[in-house]
Amino acid sequence: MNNFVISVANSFSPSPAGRHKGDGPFPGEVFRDSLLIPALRSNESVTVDFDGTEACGSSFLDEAFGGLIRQGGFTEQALRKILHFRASRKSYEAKVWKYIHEAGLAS
Amino acid sequence: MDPFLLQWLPALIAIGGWVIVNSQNNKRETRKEGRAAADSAKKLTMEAAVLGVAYLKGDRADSFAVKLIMEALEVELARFPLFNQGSRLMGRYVDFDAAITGGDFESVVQPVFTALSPEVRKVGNARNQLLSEIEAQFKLHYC
Repeated sequence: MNNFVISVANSFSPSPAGRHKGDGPFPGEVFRDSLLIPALRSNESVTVDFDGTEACGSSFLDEAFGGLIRQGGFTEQALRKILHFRASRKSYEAKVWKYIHEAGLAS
Repeated sequence: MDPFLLQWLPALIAIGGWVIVNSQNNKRETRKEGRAAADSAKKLTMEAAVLGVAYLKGDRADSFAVKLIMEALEVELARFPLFNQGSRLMGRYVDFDAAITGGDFESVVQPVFTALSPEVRKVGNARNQLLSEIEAQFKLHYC
């Protein structure tokens, strides 16, 4: 199974912030649309590596990952099979799955 | 009683006493460390809530400081054994973080809230739940 790794710090920004394109240079919407969705659509497995990232707010995480359900058309079930995480901070994975789950319930 | 045993009995009692006292000392030290971790985590929780509410009420100068204090809080919480995926402590922390840095945090469209806004009250509720869980974790592991 091919696994594609996205390093948030190296491929996007060490300090991502905000939700939408107008909120700044590195918001969740841009991360989702330019990196995350293309990777998920063309790989069997994607690992998002948060190491090296400083202080991701929940607004960024919700837009980037909850937005996979709301805007990207993915389901939580499908994401649980292909989306993985690497982070020294344990809370990143917990937060992301919370937002994905909440987006799934609301859809 | 066997004379050989009688000869060694004082030493055995002394060793046994040392083992008991040492064990109690270790428990006491572990409890002190746990108390220090809980107090530090609670202090950071209160500070994060103050900064977070100030941000929501319009003080937008330093959103990065808000995120940094949340990270510092996570470092303290990670000292507890049960700060894992799926644990109550993790859940309370994630909810607290969402209350402060979720919504339209760092967005140009973020409105200014008042003290009575549901968004501000959500921070207070999440803070209280996290504080309670920190105490519960301390009692569970160190009492």
